[in-house]
Amino acid sequence: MTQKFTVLYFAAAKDASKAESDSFEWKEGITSQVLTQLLLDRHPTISTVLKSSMFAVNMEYMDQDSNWTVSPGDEVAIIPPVSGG
Amino acid sequence: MKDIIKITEDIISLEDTVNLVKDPKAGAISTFSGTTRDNFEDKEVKTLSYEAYIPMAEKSVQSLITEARQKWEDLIHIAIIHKIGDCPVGETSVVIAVSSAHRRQGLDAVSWLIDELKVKVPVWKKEIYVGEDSKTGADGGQVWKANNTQP
Repeated sequence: MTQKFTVLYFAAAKDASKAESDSFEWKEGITSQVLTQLLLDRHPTISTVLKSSMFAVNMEYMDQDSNWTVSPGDEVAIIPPVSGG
Repeated sequence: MKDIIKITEDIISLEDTVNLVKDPKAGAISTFSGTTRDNFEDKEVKTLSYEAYIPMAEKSVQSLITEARQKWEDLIHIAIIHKIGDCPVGETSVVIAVSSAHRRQGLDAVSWLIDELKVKVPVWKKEIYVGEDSKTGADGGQVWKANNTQP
């Protein structure tokens, strides 16, 4: 059975992808760079918003510079610049 | 000590929120109430709506409250309520209420909490503008806003 992970889109990312969530097949070594490419392959229209967005994995912001990879079953969210308050 | 966190489509009442944090040991209840503006630069805002990554928003508000309790020992109850969905101009979008034995720490905590919320909590505001063309009634476009800094 293939292992998956989920991607959630919010606000401008949701508008650009026209999707609220996607399921991706998991593989070894999905760094933020690899993840970015996977997202662009599926939704070329999110290129602009992705540049200003952060990733959250399982509801924690990921440091852009640290080495992290996606694990099977992870919930990855694309977080465009926030504007609450 | 109660932590009250709500991300809700319901209209927010400042008075109801204040009642949630009342306590016989409190000498002060400090509050912040955010409301939606009717303009951005030269554009007139017709309506606004908020979206949230609700479980992460609740979790990150809880982290802020936990951090505030470490910074200020005098805090008693803390309530943070954020509106999502449509929020017409002039309506309350967020309320923070903090009870404390004395006023100073409560006031400082409220100020810090709203600043941190605006940077860290995954909530987004969309502004929909009034159109130039009154005949067609078409709206003047919409924009997802961004607060000044990212976490």
